[in-house]
Amino acid sequence: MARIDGIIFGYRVFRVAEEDTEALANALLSLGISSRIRNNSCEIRAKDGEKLRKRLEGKVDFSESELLGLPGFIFRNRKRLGTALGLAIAILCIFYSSGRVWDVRVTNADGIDAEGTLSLLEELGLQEGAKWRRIDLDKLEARFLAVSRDVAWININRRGTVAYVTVKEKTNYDEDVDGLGYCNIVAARDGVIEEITVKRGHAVVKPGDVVKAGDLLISGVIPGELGGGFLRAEGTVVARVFDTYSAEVAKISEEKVYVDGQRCELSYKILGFSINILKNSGNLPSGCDIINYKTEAVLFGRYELPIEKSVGIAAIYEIRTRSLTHEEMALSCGAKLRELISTELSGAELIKIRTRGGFTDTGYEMSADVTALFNVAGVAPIEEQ
Amino acid sequence: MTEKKNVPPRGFFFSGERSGGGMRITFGAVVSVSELAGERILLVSHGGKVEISGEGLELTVFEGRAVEVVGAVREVKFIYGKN
Repeated sequence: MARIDGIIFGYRVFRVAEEDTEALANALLSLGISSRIRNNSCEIRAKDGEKLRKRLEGKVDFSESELLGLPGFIFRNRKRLGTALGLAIAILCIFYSSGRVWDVRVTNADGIDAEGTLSLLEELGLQEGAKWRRIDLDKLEARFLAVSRDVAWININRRGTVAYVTVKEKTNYDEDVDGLGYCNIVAARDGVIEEITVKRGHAVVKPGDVVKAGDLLISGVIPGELGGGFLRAEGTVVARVFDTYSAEVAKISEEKVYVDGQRCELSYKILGFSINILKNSGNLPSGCDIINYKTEAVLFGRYELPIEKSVGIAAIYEIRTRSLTHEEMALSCGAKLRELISTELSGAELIKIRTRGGFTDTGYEMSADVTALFNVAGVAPIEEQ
Repeated sequence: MTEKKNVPPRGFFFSGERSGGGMRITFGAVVSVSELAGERILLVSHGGKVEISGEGLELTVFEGRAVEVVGAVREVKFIYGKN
């Protein structure tokens, strides 16, 4: 049977006499054409047929079939209006129907009412017949969580024309589900309290207090006059935190330089279904990165077709060292420090920053004194005394 | 520090596995095919020749001068000597 890429893009069958099969095999070897030789014949992709024909002409008696596969079928039936019309209608129907939701399936719904989940999704716009183009799955998940009382986590995956919904039940905060039991809120780092919001428990600090890491902020111990006992303290404590971050860049740097590449993967995705044409994962050269390039088909530069091509290139690299200029060191160090501060301060509000830098014997150093507002609330179990 | 560049081996190689009722053997760096029949296949490489005998043998050519022999392989003979 011909390969899937031959069927889609067209192929021809070359047949030779029994005594000429060696010549056919050697022609394929020298041209680098992949094909199986069976019963004195082989199937060649349409684009390779020209090369093989020129190589065999004059040397070997051979016969070549007409163009086979999908292009051949279309060519042979080009004058049959009914076939062309039927094919066009079929393609339009598939194209149109693939853009709509055919089914919504809820999985892992232990404790969750699947029917209720489906009804709520329908109200939010995910239902049979809805257009995929108008559905933003990330926003739909966020809106679902905002509306639902019983669901703690939801994930919606599209596979072809079916939406697979996975949900997880929300757990009661009063239950001891993570083993921490009743707990206090303590300071996760040093700082000056700016704002404290208590959801459960009672605060033992106030704005303006200086706290160190580990200090109690919100207590989970119920006072005796209120009946005594314990609870799971909860709340937000925003503190002004002072910190210093540093970054350093060496003068001699190593960089990766790509010197060559070879194709190792080729696949097509049509209507959400993947067709793997080529995948070479076992015979790759050492010292290479796999870079995937994806191309989407667009009609008239405007209409996206449900066809995607993915090519994987094994890019062979060398590690080379070079000496950075002063400007490159400073820019690189600045970028590294910015990235570090951005990571450390994610979720925090930056109030003030002061940076300084200078050249050293081995490179360039930068540091930044940062003042920011952090949520310093950390959970700690209540220790029995 | 510069790393030494590792060059992958480019010489003759072969690997095989059982497939159905026979075997599937792949040979690399094949120069040419001297003989191709259902009962005997003779491959030529830079270091010598490989003779595969059996029944229902089929040959598949791959890019990069690799070939695969599939069928009821009875004997594989390596004949060393410069071609």
